[in-house]
Amino acid sequence: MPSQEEIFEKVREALVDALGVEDDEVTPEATLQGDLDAESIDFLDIVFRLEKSFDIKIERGELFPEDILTDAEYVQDGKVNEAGIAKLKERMPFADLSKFEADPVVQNLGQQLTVRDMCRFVEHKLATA
Amino acid sequence: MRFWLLDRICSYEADTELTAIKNVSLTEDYLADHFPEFPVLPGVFMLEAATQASAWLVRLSENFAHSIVVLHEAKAVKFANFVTPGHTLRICVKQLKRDGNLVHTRFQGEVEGRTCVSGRLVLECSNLAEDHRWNGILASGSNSSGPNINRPSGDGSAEVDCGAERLAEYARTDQNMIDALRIQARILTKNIPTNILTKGEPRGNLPTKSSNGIHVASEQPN
Amino acid sequence: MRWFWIDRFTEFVSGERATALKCVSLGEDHLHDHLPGYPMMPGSLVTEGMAQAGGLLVSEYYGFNELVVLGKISQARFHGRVRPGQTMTYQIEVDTLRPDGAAVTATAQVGEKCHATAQLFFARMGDASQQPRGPRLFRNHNLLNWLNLVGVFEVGVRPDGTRLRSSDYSLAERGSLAERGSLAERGSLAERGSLAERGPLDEALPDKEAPCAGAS
Repeated sequence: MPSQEEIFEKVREALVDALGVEDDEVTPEATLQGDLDAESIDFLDIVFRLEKSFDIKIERGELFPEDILTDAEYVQDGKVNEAGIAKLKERMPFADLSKFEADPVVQNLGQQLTVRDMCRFVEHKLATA
Repeated sequence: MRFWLLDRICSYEADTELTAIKNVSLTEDYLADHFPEFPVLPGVFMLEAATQASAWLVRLSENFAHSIVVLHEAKAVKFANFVTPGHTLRICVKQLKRDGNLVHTRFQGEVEGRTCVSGRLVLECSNLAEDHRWNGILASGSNSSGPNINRPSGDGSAEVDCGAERLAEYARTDQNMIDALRIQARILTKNIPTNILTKGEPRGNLPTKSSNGIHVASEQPN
Repeated sequence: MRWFWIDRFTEFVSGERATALKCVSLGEDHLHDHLPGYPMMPGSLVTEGMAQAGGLLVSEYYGFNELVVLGKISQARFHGRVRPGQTMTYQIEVDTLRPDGAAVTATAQVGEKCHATAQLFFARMGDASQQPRGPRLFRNHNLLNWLNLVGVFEVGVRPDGTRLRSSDYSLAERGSLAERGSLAERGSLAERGSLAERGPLDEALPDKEAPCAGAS
């Protein structure tokens, strides 16, 4: 199991290559969509690079559960309800959702996903492999 | 079809940035195939527009010192939205750095404020005469290039005679290309003062014009 | 300028890999501007060749029911110049085929020399049977015509070696004149309406949809 630093280095390399950003732009606190301008097509690229880099398999919706965010059972008036938040926490144990919980507007989740969340996702995948 | 993927250069600042536009019109013949039911500017034409904008930034900044300025690498080029006929793609290119004969740029293309394409490019600058002179020197292993040097050139052709006469021919081809590109630049930059087109900031390692108007390779490699 | 940037497939293995050729000819307009006095293939059109070969490979895997468009050029790198009279060989390998998109690795060679490498990502715009999420790009006969031109059904096989046939897909249903019968069988133009209403003769019997007019 690689160390946290090794994981960060590989995640950073994947993001630099996928997003065309500089090394120093990829900090643990940097948000993927906000700071690094990642879009949906980039997530496909990022997932592909992470799979190759760490020899893991990432299913659709594992890193970013778009199925929950588009489910009427969990989303009302553009906001994720309590049941939805519980579901998100279950699906994303690697992510810090406290900020999102305070204002659970659907668009915010993607905006708030950080590089650190991504590193924790990889750790979680490697630990449960 | 003309392979001019820009219609007007709107502004530029040497070695810094350039903005240009590409109109998309139903009369453009490639649209009949891309796609028959949904004509849109092909993504690679957005890439080509950005490449040409970057190339013009380089050419205008260095006063056409190189005849060949072409795409060497494209990175993280994303196609976010379609551009349909009757719309204008506005391309903005920013130069990130210059590393010898490689120029790094970042670009974005938008239609009415909506981003359609973005990415990073690396362009490679060269002259035929310089390419073949250096190929000749490397092949001979000496400082003088004699006749009948057999070495693949940059274009992959099998054998190249890099003698003086041949090099002069390449230099003429370089000059002809530059002359044609200057004419194109005048058409594209109609509203930009002409003194910006003719003046450049000559650099020590770029070819200089000799008294008979033919570009002569400098002593230093690109 | 036609928008066909590969000339023919020499290999096509469903879901896995493909090889296609592109001849470079002074008969092509773009070479006379790129560059004026020294023609060479532009990197953008080499990329399009790789994208078309890869896009057809991905699209076939989904039975040609999907709209597949180039979403991202993750990286493309070019070495040397490709001149008129040369032929490029594009090799495409599928990296991943996922519900949310596909990725391929592509190379372009001239003889033994590598001219370009690229990694391309395709967006899938929805299964036609489940309401396509995007615009319709081709009529079936346009796509079938293209597939025949580039030899997908001449060389195409599944991984087990069985041949791909056009009848395996739902392309012919709304398809060609050959399927629908000749004009003589179906009656005169006067009976069936004027060209202005129905569209050009070389299309399949048009239905009453609006003609291609750049709808976005």
